[in-house]
Amino acid sequence: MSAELPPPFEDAPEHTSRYGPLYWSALVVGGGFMAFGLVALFSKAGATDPANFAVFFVGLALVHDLLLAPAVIVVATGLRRASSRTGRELLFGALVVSAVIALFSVPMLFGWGAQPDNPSFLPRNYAAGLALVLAVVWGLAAAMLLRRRSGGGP
Amino acid sequence: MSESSPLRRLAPPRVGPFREDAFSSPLHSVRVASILGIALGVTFTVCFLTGFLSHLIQHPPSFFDWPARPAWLYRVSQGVHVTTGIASIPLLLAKLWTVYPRFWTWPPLRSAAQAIERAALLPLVGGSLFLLFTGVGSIARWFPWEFSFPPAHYAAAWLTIGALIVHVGAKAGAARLALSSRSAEGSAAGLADEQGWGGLSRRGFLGAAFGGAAALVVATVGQTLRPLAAVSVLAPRDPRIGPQGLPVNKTASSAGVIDAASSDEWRLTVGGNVPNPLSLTLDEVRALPQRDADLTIACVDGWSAAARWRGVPVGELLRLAGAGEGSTATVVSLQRPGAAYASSDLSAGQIADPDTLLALELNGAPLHIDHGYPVRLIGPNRPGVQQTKWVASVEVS
Repeated sequence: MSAELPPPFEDAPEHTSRYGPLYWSALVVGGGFMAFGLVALFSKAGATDPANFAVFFVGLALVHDLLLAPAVIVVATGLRRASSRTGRELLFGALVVSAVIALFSVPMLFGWGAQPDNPSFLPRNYAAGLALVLAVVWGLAAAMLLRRRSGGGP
Repeated sequence: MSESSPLRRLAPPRVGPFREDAFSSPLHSVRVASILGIALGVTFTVCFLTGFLSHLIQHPPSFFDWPARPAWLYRVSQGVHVTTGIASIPLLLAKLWTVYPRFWTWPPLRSAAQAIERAALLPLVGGSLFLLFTGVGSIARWFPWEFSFPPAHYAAAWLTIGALIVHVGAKAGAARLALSSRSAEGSAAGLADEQGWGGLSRRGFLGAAFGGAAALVVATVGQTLRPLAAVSVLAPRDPRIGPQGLPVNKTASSAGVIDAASSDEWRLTVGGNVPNPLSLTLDEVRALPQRDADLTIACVDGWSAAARWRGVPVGELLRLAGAGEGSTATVVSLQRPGAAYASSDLSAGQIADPDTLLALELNGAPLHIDHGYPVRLIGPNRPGVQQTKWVASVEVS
């Protein structure tokens, strides 16, 4: 199926990085920012806890690259086989948006930071809130599907 | 690029993600990556500048004097910081998805320049995820880590923005080409290829990324934009909810000040570099000339709420104590000395502003103890953590 597609990020000139003067000057400036970041990190090591900092800094990248992205590929591949061509795009779009919104809501939803003596923090019913937002997302997707089926839209 | 690279001669492992056709989706495209990259370049720059401003206000270097006016400036800049960070979440995940095949690129290293560029992807990707993850955790007060959030988030911001500058330097040319009308992807043939794939189109994918960002903004921005409070159903705060209609960040019981704050022994003292130190009972503070001011509590967590305050202008109090013109002062709380945010500094300019008050009343009633009874500091254009509650003393310097 991919035979007709141009390979992504092929090494055509337009796809490759350029290591000209712009790159080398960016490296000097960006390197300065990063050096300052390391100073900020280690000069307050008692507060920033560089070892624990590194666990999250590197760990989150690994969780994304080795767990989250492959999981999305597996789910998307399965759904692609299981879904009909009609509406697949809207299904995927609504799923992606729903997943990101749900991911953001997790700490509020479970109330991990709730303070029993402070009812003004996390004052809402976040399960109902998430359900409402997702209902709007899927409602919009359904409306767009109907519009496409009736030939009214792109 | 160099053919002499020993890795260049290694045969790629043609399995799993290393297969040439492993990533067939047309979403893994330079054009899509460029559009998302430009959007993220804007949002991360905005977050960096507003975050750095908040850092300067809370840790002012000698050259930095944060003015009391305009009163709305900190509310807006910190609201923009948190809201822009939230909007970046779908954009970042979409961007990482688009460039994900590059994680498995073969050969992994080609030249010194490319090796440095790839090495800078760790602070770029790890740093971006770190900033958004700790930012969301912090506004939700969920701290699954050991480090202190503000200095760690600050250090990560410099690492990430530095890596972003390197990345822009490496990719600006490729992005400009990919976005130009001459690029293969923008051509009719490129679009036809995409239609043969039958999944989420590039346009649909970008729509989902930006639509998701917009949805998250609407679902949270009402914590600082009051007219949207009713629709911001995922915001950690509601500016309408709290004792006396105002949210609370730190309660009196968690600060351990209930006994001291409600004691008859409480006195407000004004000391330090003044010829006429004061020690006032609550009735004596109430008997001083009072002033009303409409001021906003603007939390570093990105929520804000306006209210009407009534109290004694700090400038008037300092005049009573005989403090000289241009004095600065530290407002100290009843909280245990050394506790986080147990005191805050006032510059000469902030003291000179008549709306910088030691407030006794909120919305027409004595302060609720969680709002700082008997007396709290409230001034224009200050972060909430610097609106010291349960004030015990003002030290003039």
